[in-house]
This record gives sequence, C-alpha cells and structure tokens, in this order.
Amino acid sequence: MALSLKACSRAARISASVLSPFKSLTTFKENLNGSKVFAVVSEMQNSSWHQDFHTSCVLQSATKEALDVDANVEPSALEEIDDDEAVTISLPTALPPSSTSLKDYVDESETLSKLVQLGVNLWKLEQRPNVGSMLLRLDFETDVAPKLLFLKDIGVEDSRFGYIITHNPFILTESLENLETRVNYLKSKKFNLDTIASMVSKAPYLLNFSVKRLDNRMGFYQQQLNLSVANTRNIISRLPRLLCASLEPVKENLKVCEIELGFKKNEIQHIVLAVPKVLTANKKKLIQIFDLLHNTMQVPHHLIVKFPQVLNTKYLRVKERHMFLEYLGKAQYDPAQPNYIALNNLISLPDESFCSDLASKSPRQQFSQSNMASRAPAASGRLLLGVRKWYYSLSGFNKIGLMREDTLHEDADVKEALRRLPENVYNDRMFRIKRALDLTMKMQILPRASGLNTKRMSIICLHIWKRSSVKGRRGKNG
Amino acid sequence: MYYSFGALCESRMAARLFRRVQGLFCVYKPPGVHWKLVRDTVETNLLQELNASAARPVPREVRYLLSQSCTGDGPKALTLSAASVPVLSEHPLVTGPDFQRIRVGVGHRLDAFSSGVLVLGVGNANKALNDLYSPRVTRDYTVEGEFGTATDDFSNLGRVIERSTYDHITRDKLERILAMLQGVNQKALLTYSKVDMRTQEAYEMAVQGLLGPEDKSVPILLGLRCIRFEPPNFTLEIQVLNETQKYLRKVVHEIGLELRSTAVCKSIRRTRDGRFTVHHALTRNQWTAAEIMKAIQQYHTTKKRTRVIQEQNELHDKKQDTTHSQSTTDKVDAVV
Repeated sequence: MALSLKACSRAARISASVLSPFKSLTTFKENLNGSKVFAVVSEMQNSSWHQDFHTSCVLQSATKEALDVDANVEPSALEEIDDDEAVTISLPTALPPSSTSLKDYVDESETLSKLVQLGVNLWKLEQRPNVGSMLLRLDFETDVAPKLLFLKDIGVEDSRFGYIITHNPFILTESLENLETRVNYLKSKKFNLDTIASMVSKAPYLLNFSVKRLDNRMGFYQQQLNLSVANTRNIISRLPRLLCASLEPVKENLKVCEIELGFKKNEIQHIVLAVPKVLTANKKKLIQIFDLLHNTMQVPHHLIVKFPQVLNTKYLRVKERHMFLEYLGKAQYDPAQPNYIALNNLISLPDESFCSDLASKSPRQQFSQSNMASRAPAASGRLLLGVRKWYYSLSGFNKIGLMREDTLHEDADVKEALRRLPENVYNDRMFRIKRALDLTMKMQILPRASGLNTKRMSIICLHIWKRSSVKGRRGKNG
Repeated sequence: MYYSFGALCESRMAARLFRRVQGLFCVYKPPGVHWKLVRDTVETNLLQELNASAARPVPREVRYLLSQSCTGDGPKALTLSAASVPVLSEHPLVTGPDFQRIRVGVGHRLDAFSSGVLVLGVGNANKALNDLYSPRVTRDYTVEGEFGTATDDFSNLGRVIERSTYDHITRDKLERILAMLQGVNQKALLTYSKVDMRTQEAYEMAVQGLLGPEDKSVPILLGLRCIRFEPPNFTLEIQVLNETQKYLRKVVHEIGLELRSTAVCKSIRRTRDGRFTVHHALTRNQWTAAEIMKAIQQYHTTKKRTRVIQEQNELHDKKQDTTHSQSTTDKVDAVV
C-alpha cells in the first residue's frame, strides 16, 4: 500500500471548527520527535456496507517546554516510519469547514449516507435554513434509528420513510416519549393502528404537534361542523392535514361557504363529508368555480351538493368543457329536462369518453373548438340561412306581402311559365299582387303580427316553371 | 443552475432531447390566464420530461477501507482492502435534478383577457424571437364587440359607465365608420414610413408592400373588416402593427362612439402572429416535449420551403429580365 500517507498526515493541519460535526475521541500520541501532539480521531461506527473510516486531524499544541520558535517541532515528511504506523495514519479528507451544500459531507457522514439510501431528498432539505447543519449533527444510532424503528412499529412502510423525512426532518429531533404519547392519544380516540400509520404517512408533521393541540383541532372540527365522533374520525383519517394546518383558513372557508356561496349548514356538512379538501381549498378558487357553476352554467345549489366533487376540480377544465357543450348546444344540466348531463360525468370522464358519449365529436375537435371556438363559422347552414333571411328582408317587397317570384319582369319566358302554372298557384299570385298594389296606394305595409313579413322565400315554384319554359323554347330553336 | 453539458455526456438521450426541443413554436393561450402562467407551465413540463430521461447510474469509485482482521491484537493489525463504493455526492437526491432551468422566452405578449396564438422560443431560439419584433411582422385579430354599454376598461368585464340604444345602427353605417378608420390609419402608415410620397422610390416600396414604420410607432391598423353583424353583436377582423390589446378594445369603444352609441369588447382572439397561425398552435393537452418537437420540425420545414420558393422566384425574375433585354435588342436590330 504505497500511498503517501506519511506526507499527507504530517502535512495536514485542520482547524477545530471541522471537528464539531463529528463525535471525537481524543487520544494522546507521541510522535517520533518526542514533542506531544494531540491527535483527534473521529470514529465512525461500523455499518453494514461502510467499513471503519478514520479521519485524523493533527494539531500542533504548545508543550510544557517553552516555545522555541527555531526548534524543529515538525518531523520531516521524508522521515521513514514502519508499516504498522503507516496503516494507522489514514488519509484525512479535505472537508471544508463550512459549505452551502451537503454533498461535500455526504460521503464521510454515516447519517447522511444512510438517509440518502432511505430516499431522503437532501438537495431539497439543504435549501431550508439550518436543516442541513441539524442533519449533520445527528448520530444515526442514537438519534435516527430509534425513531425509524418506532415508525416501523406503528406500521409505516419502509418506502415512505424517505418521503416523511424529506417533508418533516424535525421528526428526528422529536423525543421518543413525545411521539409515543401522541400515538397513544390517537389510539385513545379510537383510531386503529393502520389508520394512524396512514395518517402519519400522509401528513408527516402530525406527530410533531402536542397532544393538547391535536385535541383542540379535533374538537374544533367536531363543533364547527356539528359532526358525530365517527364522522370526525372519518374526515381526519382521510385528510390528516386538517390536524396540522392552522385553523384560520378553515374558519374563513367555512364562512365563505355559508355567507358568500349561500350553502346551508347541513349542505356544508354533506359537502365536507364527501370532499374534506374543501376546508383547506384556496378561497379565491372556490369562489371562482362556484361562480362558474352557479351563475354561468345555472346549476342550482342542491345539484352542487349532490355532486360535491365539482368544487374540487380545475376551473379551466370545467370551463372548457362547458363552453364546448354550449357551442354544440348540449349544455343542459337540469335533470328534469331531456339530454341531461350529470355534473360528475362532465368533470370525471376522460377526454375520449367525454367526447364520444356526451358530445359525439373527436377529442381533437373538442380542444380545437372549445379553445378556438370559431365565432365566425364560414358557411354553416344556419348562418347562411340567416344571411339570406336578412338580405331578403332588406329588400322591401316582402313587407307588402310579395314573394320574389311576384316581382319578376314579365318577358316572354315568364309569360310562358305563368301560362303553365296550376290554377291555385296562379290565383295566389294574383291575390298577392292585388294586395301589394292596394298597400302601395295607401302607403302602408302589412302589420308585423300577421307574420307575413317574415315569410320565407318560396321554394321557387315559378322558377321551375320558368326554367322549363326556357328549356322548351331553346329546345325548339337549337 | 443551468445545465452543464459535461455532466450530461453520460446521458446522451437527454442531451439529444434538449437539442431538439430548442426552437420556435406557438401555443394557444386560453382566455383568463396570464401569459406568464402559460410560459411557466411549458417550462415545467419540459423540465420534467428532460429530467426523467436524464436518469443515469450513480458513479462508483474504488476506496481503500480499513478492515479489522480477526486475529488482530489491537489497532496495529489493521489492513486496507479495496472496495467499489457508490459516490453518494453524485447521487441525484444529493445534487438535485440535472435540468433546473430552461430558457423559455415569449414573443408578443397577450393580456389575460385575450386568447390566441402566443409564440414561444426555447433555449437558443430566443435570439430568433427578436426578429418577431421587427416592424414588418404583423398580427391578425378577431375582435368581438357588443353595442349598448360603455365600461371603464372597454371590455365587458369592467364597470359599466354608460348604456345606450343601438337600434339605429345598420351594417351600412358600421362599414362607413370602418372605412373612415382605415383611411386614417393608411395615412398614418404613410407618414411613419418616412419617405416622400412623390418619389419613384416611394412608389416602388408601395408596390412591394414595404411601406411602414421602421421602428416603434403608434399602433397602425393595416386592415379592418366587419365579418359578422347581428346587433347588438358584431365581429371585426383586424390586421395591425405595434399594437396592444388595450388599444384594440379602445378601437371598439371608439367605433361605438362614432356610431352615436356605445360599444364594449367581448373577446379578442389573435389568429396569426407573423408566420404562426391558429392551425399551428398547440392546445393545452399538447404542451409536451414530443408535440413541441413536432411543431418545431414543422416550422423548420415550412421555413425551408418558403426560402426555396423565394430563391426560385428570384431566379425566374432574373431570367425574365435577361430575356426581356434580349428581345428589346432584337427589336432594335429589326428596326435598323
């Protein structure tokens, strides 16, 4: 092992501040020259994969003799020592005394390496102030391992340890008695052990709160919502975050539901039992989606209470789907009427089935149309008809009760066509012309109520007769 | 932290992906959403996909570890043994993700009320975004208005200030007002193009459509047309330079005033920004790396195609010129 251990060890001078993260064991060691040297050796415990790894820092210290500046205190780097001593003097790593990142220490620190192996995201944790130094100071055997074993006893799965410690590193500094007291309190409130395990898993900060605080919170939910004990337990086990977060936003949300949105107390109870997330939802978003549902989509309160998951969905999703249905003319949310679309179908169906079942269009059309809902369709039948109607009314003759064919100039072809008309059609035409002449003389138009003003253009009977007469004429000549 | 190419040499797929994702493309911004949110969402999606594809194994190194020998009598009987050990300081949980930021830039911004085409550029393509700001690039809008109300911010969501009747408004009157507006804007265009209108140069520029402001100027409407008129609603199609969406809403308001009534803007939709149209725009479910790469590829091919066609046209013109000059010389010879 021809490593330059000698040179390194002799040359190493590391200041005392580096020693603080590690548990140190000082030994007194005489070096070859006789002057006393403090060798501070930090000892890492045995681990399964990481063998003993010694870091030695050598400090020069003042000896009992008077300080002789000229004396050769340091032994030379080229001095020869025997192999046994060479093996014991191991390579000290150049650990920086302070660093902004834990990656400088992770290879040397047993705690950090084991935390990485558990799946803790050290990169995220080091961004929180003081958490990095706290983790470095922990010792795995005495601090970390007992807590992890305790969590395992409760029933939390090993794969969740990383998630829990990443979100709540302070669970490792909480004392074991406190953790046990809190778990016992939860057990006394009749939460069974599996539920407690899932609660701790979902809300990592849960066991950091004192018993008094947990009790306070549970009491608050029970009173405010007027729930039975079993129901309170139910919502807390589904959303354990309720016990961790502060109560002010919850109080505000309840007030919003009651006053601004206008739900009654039993309705709020029902909504919270179905979707407890409403209590911790963002106030503005809650109001926004309610506004869309109630004012734009005209959904009454009792229907929203029937489908409370609607209050939990993304605003844009509901808005786009509603706009798409409106564009198709299928936006009907009243169960009493035909073609009713249930709110839960509106939001929970994936795009494919939504389009095929409810809208009967392809998803690409849905997104392109709801997003780019072309407000100026080029030539849809309805629009064209509208344009024709408008143009027709613009020309004034239908106001005096005439159809377009009645205004044709009577040339030879028209005369021939008139001769070929059946008698009833001819009589109607004569009546219309007479009435129009009468109205022009009196300077009047037909009254609006009679509906004759907006009569549609005739499906061109005279036109057909005219065309046939023209054909006949041509047929004779050419 | 910007991504360091050195660290990614091992993960070539991620590097390849990153290179292909750089380019210009356009997305459809829905109304009611701030443009920054759109840009952030696209950046987040790209980062997620790049980090997922950049998964590389933790490097290992050989370390000499002290091991206690069984027959050892004290610390003197220690031996060193070599072991291959993962270097945890390179573990992704310790270093963080490889990609932490991607430069996604936005072309012409759209305010929260409007919707439509929003051009984005990724990485190196941000330099090309500056070309979009050149005055030769225009934008198309479809603006919907409603007669009868006037609000403080000219849109239908503002505070109502005034209401009026609109029965007297006919399509004919509206067209007349639009024609007047167009005339004014045409005049502004000529003024800002800074050429003397009486020169040959001005005529040639006008023929080629190069008249226009060189730098920033007031908003100029290049085209204004009424597509739909069903009182109280009407729809306009506008081509415009140097505009803001507030200006377009103001135009609607002023049209209302000119017609002796009032009008508010119900929606503004940008249908074209330069070369990017609504047909190329990616909708919300398409803001993923794969779709973005496809869009960028399409843009490159169309750019190449137009360039090829342009070059062909130039060659064709040159040929025509030479033949034309040849024929004139022949004529001269014939006369002589």
